[in-house]
Amino acid sequence: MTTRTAIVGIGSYHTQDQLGWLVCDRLIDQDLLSKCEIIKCTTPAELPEVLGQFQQTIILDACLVSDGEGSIKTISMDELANNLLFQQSSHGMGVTEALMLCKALKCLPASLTLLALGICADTDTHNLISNEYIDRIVSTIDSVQTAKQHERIEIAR
Amino acid sequence: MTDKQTLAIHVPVLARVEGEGALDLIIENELITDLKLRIFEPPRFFEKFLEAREPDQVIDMVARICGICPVAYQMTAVHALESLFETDVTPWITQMRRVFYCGEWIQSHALHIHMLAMPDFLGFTNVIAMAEQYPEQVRRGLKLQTLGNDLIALFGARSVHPVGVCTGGFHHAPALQQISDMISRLKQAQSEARDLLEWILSIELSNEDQDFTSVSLQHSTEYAMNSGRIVSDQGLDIDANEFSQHFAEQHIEHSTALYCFLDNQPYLVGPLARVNINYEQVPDELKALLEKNQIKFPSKNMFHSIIARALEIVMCIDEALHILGNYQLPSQSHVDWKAKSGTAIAATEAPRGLLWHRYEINDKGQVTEAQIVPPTSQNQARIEQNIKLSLESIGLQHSADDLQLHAEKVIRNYDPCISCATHFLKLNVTRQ
Repeated sequence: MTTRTAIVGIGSYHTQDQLGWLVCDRLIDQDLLSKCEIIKCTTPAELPEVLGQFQQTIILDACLVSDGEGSIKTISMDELANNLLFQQSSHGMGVTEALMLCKALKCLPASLTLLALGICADTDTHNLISNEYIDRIVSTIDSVQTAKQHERIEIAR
Repeated sequence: MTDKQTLAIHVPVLARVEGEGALDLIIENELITDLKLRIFEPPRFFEKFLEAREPDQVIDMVARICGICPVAYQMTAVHALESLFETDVTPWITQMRRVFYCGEWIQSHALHIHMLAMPDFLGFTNVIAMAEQYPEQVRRGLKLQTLGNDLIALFGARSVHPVGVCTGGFHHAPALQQISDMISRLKQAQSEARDLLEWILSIELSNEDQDFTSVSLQHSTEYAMNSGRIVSDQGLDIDANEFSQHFAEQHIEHSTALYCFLDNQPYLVGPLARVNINYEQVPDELKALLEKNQIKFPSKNMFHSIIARALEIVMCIDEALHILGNYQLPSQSHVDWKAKSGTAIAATEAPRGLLWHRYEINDKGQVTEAQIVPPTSQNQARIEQNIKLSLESIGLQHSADDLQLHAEKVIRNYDPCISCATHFLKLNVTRQ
């Protein structure tokens, strides 16, 4: 297990669902989070193996919202568990269900945060990822990492 | 005088199946008087979308019918088109298509066994609950599923809706290093797949023999996947071109998916039907393992479907390893072809069973009419028949909850892909 932070972009090749991957591509291309490991995932089945390797993970996933395209919402594992809508067909198994499965398999990292990247039905993801948008994501990731470091220091005390 | 007793069970949304369906069941005086597997997922009109499309567009578009079995749709379409165009592909292409298809069987079966079916057999509500007690088995299942996905991506460039197939072959050939890496993983997976099969064989399954007709492809020299004759265990033995003379689709009021019948009777397609018909081609080592566990094929126990799936995972891993072990970079990954007009027909074996395509092609090489008969359409009538027989077998005096759970278990055992089945809606328009 590595102490590096994993940034895991969840996505597919289709329309707005690409967002997590596009953000990962920009982070890699611009070398913005060089101390983190940036990983692109396609299916929930990949998550247990990936997450089991890291102590801290931040997941990036597009999230359909009625307003607030471009919003970045930080969601903790506890908040996810409280909002679990369990559908679980193989077509419908989402990130939340996959994370609950990771929890059952005891392969969740010590620290896990989901960044829900707000999109609307007609969002053009390529237009959305401006430099300003990427800066906000990097800043949010920095804040999450800093907060987690403080938590660890408090626990150590 | 006995009061009339009526029990109505309505399962508004079936969980752990692909797509949206429901079950309505009426029991009156301990007799099932009405049973409907209602498929209400909106029709998707894929056959209409395919009209005016050219061959390579068809191959890319049919992949979008299903996120779980896109390879089956691509392989059936490409074989139908090449059959009409009289395209002779190279042995390399034929073999790599088989490996590509093996990937899909591995991922689809691994997914169904672990995520959808085994929670039923072990008494859990879902795989998350099951994972707490069976973590290693669930991890192994996810690993096998990922392996299958990666095998698809090796030839298809991606595992979901792959884009690597073209008329005449593949757009590209994988590099030797990619094959070498895959061989290492397949070698490791051989023992994992056998452990999976032994685990499944250790589970006590309900023993409910039923009378049904199995239908699948059969090939003289290999376990049928991409080609073969359509065979039943009741004596049917036909070419894919003769399908319409024996099989007929019907629109049923309560379903947006068509029901397909063989000589007006329900029948079974899928892994159990395949193993039943092609058991002779199962390797001796695996037959011995089954016999050691008192499992006999052909089997009339529908719950042996999960054994058939695990068995096919083992066979696919072994076969992919064997073929890739002799892999060489080809001089060309696809051959030239020339479109011609006529009727293009083929059948292949999707993970869930027989998949049949027919395309009418005009002199520009464009589709003028398409017909796709997916496995779930073929199994629908059989599923309803199975639920009725199975509930009567366990006894209709059970509580509504118990009957509902058992009926859902029977349905999930077929791994129905409702999304695949809803291609068509009979539309009646009355104008005054």
